Amino acid sequence: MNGWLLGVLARALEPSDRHAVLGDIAESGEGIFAALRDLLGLILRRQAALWAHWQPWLALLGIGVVAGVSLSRIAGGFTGGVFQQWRTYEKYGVHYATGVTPRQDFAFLACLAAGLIVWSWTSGFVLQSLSGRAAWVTWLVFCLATLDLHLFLFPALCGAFLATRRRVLPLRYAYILINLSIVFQIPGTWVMRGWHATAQQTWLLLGLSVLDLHLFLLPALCGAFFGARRRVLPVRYAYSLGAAVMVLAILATWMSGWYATAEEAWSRGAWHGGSRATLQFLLVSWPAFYLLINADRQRMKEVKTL
Amino acid sequence: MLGEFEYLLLSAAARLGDEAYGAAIRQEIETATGARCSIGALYTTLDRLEAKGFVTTWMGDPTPQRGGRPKRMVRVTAKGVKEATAFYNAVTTASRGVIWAVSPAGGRT
Repeated sequence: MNGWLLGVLARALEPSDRHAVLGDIAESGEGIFAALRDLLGLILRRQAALWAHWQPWLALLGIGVVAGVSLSRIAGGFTGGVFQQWRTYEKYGVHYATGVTPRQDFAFLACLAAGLIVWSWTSGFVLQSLSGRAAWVTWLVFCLATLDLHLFLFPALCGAFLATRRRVLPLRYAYILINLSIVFQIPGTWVMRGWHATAQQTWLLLGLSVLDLHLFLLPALCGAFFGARRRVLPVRYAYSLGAAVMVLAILATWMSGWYATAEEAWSRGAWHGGSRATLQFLLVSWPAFYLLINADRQRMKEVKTL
Repeated sequence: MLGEFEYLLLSAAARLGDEAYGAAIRQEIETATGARCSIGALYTTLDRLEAKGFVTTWMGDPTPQRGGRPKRMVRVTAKGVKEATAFYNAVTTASRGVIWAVSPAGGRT
C-alpha cells in the first residue's frame, strides 16, 4: 500500500528521476511519512521550477484563459443556435427568425462547426506543447474557463492523458473515456427537463452536448496528443493549418456581419455590433499563428545547420 | 560562486568518487552537517550543478536493495573541481584569523 502510494505520487516525476528517487527512498529505509514528505517536496520543487519559464505562463493565460473562454463562448453560441432552430422547427414548423435567411444561418453554423474543430485542435496542441509537465495545471484552468459544460470532463481528460502517456490504445481510450463522461451529464439534463416542454428536447440538449464535445474538446485532446510528442509542427502542416484557421476566422467574422446588419436594421440603427465577434475569432486563432512562427523558426534553424 | 549546499554536494561526490550517487551523497551530507538532507534539495541542486557543467550524471545499474531500481550516478567535472577549489579558498581566506568561540555573554570572543 505504502509502496503503491509512493509509486502513484512518483508518476509526477520524469521516468528516469522517478526510478532513481524511489530507489534512494528504498535504500535509505526511511518511514512512509518521511518518504512521502521527501517525495512531495521534490515534486513541488520540480513543479515550481517549471513555472520559472515563460512557456507554461503563455499556455495558462493565452490558451487556458483567453482562448479557452472564447472557444467556450463560440461553442455555446453554436449549440444554442442549433437548439433554437431545431426547437422552433419542431414546435412551429418554421425557421427561427434571426434576421437572416435559413441558408445563411446554416452556412454560419457550418462555418462555426468547422472552425471549432480547427481552433480547438490548435489550442490543444499549443497548450500541451507549451505546458510540458505543468499540463495538469493549464488543462485544469482550460476546463475551468469552459465551466459551463466541461468541468465534469476533467477527470476523464486526466485519464485520457494517462492513457496517452502510457501509449495504451491512446486515442481510442481517450475517445471512449470522454464519451463515457457524458453519462455524468444525464442527471443534470434530466433536472433541466422541468424547464423544457418535452423529453425529446431534453435528449436534444444532451445530443447537442455530445456534438459540442466532438467539435470542441475532442479536437483539443487530439491536438494535445500530438503536442505532447512534438513541440513544433512540420512547416507544410503549420502553413496548411494557419491558412485554414485564417480562412475560417475571416469567414466567421464576415458571416457574423450578416447578423450585425440584420440587428442594426431591426433596431433602426440603435444597435451596433460585430467588433466583439471579430475579437473572439482573433483570440481563438492566435495559437495557429504561434505554431506558424515556431515552424518557420525551426525551418530557418535547419537551413542554417545545413 | 557556489552556494554552500552546492559545495557540500560537490565535496560529498568528490569524496565518494565512483560510488557517488543520490542516496550515498545524501548520507555523506547528513553525516557531515548533522542535519537532515531532503531528497528535493539534493536532486534540484544536482540538476542545477549539472546545468552549470559542474557535475555529470548518468543512470547506473539497478541493485536488489533498491528494489531493482537504478542509481543516479554523479561525477564532478574539471569545471566543478575548479569552482569547489575557489569556494574552499574563499572560505579559508575569509576565516583566517577568526576563532569561532562563543563568550558567556553570547557574543564572539
